[in-house]
Amino acid sequence: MAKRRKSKSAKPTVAAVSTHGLEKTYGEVTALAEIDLEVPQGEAVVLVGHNGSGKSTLLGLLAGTMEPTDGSVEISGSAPDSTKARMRRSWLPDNPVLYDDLTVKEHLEYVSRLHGGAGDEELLDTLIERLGLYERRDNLPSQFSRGLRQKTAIAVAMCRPFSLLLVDEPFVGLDSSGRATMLDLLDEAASGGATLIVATHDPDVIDRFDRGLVMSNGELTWDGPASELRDHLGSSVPHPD
Amino acid sequence: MTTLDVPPPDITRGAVADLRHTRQRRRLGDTQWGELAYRVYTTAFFCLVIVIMISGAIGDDPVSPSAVVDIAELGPKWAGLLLSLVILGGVRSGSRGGPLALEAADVQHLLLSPADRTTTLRRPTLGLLGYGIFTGTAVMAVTGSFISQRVPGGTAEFVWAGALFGAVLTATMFGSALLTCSRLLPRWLLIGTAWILLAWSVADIADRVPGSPTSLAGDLLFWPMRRGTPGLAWVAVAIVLVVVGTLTVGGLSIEAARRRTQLVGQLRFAVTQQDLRSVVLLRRQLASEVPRNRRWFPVPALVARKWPIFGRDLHSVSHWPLIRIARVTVLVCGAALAARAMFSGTTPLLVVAGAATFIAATDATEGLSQEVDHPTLLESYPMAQGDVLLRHLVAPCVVMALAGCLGLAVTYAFDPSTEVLRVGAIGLLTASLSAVAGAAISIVSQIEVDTGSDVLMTPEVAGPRLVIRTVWPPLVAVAGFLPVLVAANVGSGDPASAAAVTALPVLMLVAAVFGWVRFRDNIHASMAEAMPG
Repeated sequence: MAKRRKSKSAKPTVAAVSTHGLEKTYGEVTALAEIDLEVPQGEAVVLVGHNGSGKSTLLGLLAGTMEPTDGSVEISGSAPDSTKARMRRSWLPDNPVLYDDLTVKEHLEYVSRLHGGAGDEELLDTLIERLGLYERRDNLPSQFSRGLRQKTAIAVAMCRPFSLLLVDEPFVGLDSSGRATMLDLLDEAASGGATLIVATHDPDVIDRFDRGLVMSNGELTWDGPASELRDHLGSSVPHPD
Repeated sequence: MTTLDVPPPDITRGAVADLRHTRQRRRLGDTQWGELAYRVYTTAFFCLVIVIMISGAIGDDPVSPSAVVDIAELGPKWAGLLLSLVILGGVRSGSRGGPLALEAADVQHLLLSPADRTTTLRRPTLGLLGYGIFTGTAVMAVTGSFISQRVPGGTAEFVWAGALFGAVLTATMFGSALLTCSRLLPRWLLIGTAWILLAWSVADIADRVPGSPTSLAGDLLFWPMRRGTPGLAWVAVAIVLVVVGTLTVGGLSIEAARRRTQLVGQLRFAVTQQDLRSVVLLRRQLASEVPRNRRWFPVPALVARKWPIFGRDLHSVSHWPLIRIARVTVLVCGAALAARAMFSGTTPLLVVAGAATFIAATDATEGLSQEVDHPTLLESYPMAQGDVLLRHLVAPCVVMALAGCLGLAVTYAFDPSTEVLRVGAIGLLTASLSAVAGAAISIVSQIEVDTGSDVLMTPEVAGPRLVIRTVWPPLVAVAGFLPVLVAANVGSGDPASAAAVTALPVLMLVAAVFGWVRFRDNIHASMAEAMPG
């Protein structure tokens, strides 16, 4: 697949994501050590690293689901917990979190409304169809397989307006068509000007991003163009789980 | 993508309300009404039986005039201690993301959305408050009627007083929890205040310092006897705490809420299954209680080589987090002080002392629990399973005995008499061993043994068996304090001698439990062999 095309608009002045001395510790265990990171608006970043390297912790801190032990995080210049940040940021965790008693369609409708995206029925239907959930749109995800739940979670993350998309291991449990759709959706989000930060173990998708970050033992050990990431990693490219 | 403007509050409010309405409608549609009615009926029947049993146990003979004076004097202080404890419990719950236990999806989709968090959380908060305050009010109203059976004053007055105290008690607990979780005030300030209130309350009971603030609230419960009004100030305190907590609950920590969300459901399930081990583990996770990386003390290589199981357990103790050391110390010292009060005649504290040492022993038997948690590993050892389990009891006995020595020293500091040392030394031995024996029963019972007997068991047998399996372990721990109880009621004889004589059957009970741990497999194998078919 061709490298994604990004629309070049006026250069934004405020970074989409900015961290300063970001630290997270659990008792005596350091999960993240003094991360200084700036991601401009519209950049697509891939985050790689072995298990326990701190990828999920970093994403959790950016998503506002974790609190730093030290340092700070800003989402488009706002605190990660602020209403503005919550409006701008969409978060797709590695484990789908869904209501047991809402159908796929209802999930999308309510989440879309919560973010002020009400009324775009067509968008929701298209999303459901593209992810292969149309036949199951009125079913409860609690009865779904892991892969279908992941697809539902992807639809929920994508059905609302956002300018920052944080994704943790999006391809886990997906079949080949689901994986292709996920990649297309990421491309479209980037083309629309959104900032992407995607943590993955999948080496095949690295080239689709603008920038690569490598984490190890809670530290950012490499930061550079994604095109050079494969060379940097060499034979130690992490394999899919 | 459309717009990234924050949606107006009425839009998000409407979406949250519709989402909840849809979910409620679906849940109600799935409800089995017949089953629900049966559950309500059985719960009500069970509560009625409990009330009648307690009422019968309390009796209705009026207490002596001197006892009335004591109750009027000490009753509010003990009620104040209860309030101090629930405030501390509330603050601790709030500091861990409580008292709300939200669903993971609510955290992910509602709290991370731009909807106002305080507004979003109002409904679950009010629901929790309503249910909690109603339960507290009902329980304390019944307690009020029990009190009225023995002391002067009208039943109706005591019921109203109890109901008011119960409402204040639960409202204060939930209010302090909400205020803490809202992070409006520093956590250390609230936890510190709760501990000061508790210490003040204990000191007030011991007549070391006058009038603790929570004793004033206790006046509400005993209002028909005292007719004082200062306790009404606590009504205002409770209201303020609940209102401020409800209005600021949106400031809760999402990280704590998520952690609580993941664990509370499992914790409730473990409680319903009487799975004490899971309760202990989940509670530790909820409190983020993780072992230290650095050891408190080195384990000599010789010990680890010569007695590997004992050495492994010492390794476990050497990595205990500070909070676990503090908890075991406080529990054992509290048990020792309760035993001293029991020695002076407050017999019901026998249960408190036994429960405290039982909880402490569940911490001390971590090595045994770890072994039981990994049955495949346990089966792979080239020695009898019971032998491994029994050897795991050595380290907990040492830990409990050391903590008991500290408890005895604290008790001696309060009451420096030789009698405390003589009776206390005997009580220390029996209480430490009994607590470990009780914890061992609870832990080892988790190992599945297939004797085929469960299949043949009728519900009439299975029910009481379940109750006995739940109550038996703490009862064994309580038995460890029987020597102190007997010493307290010996009359003109030597208390230490009476305690020593009573210690023998208690030690035999402990030996029987340890023997059961060692030969449990053989016993079950014999039972299975003896079963027909």
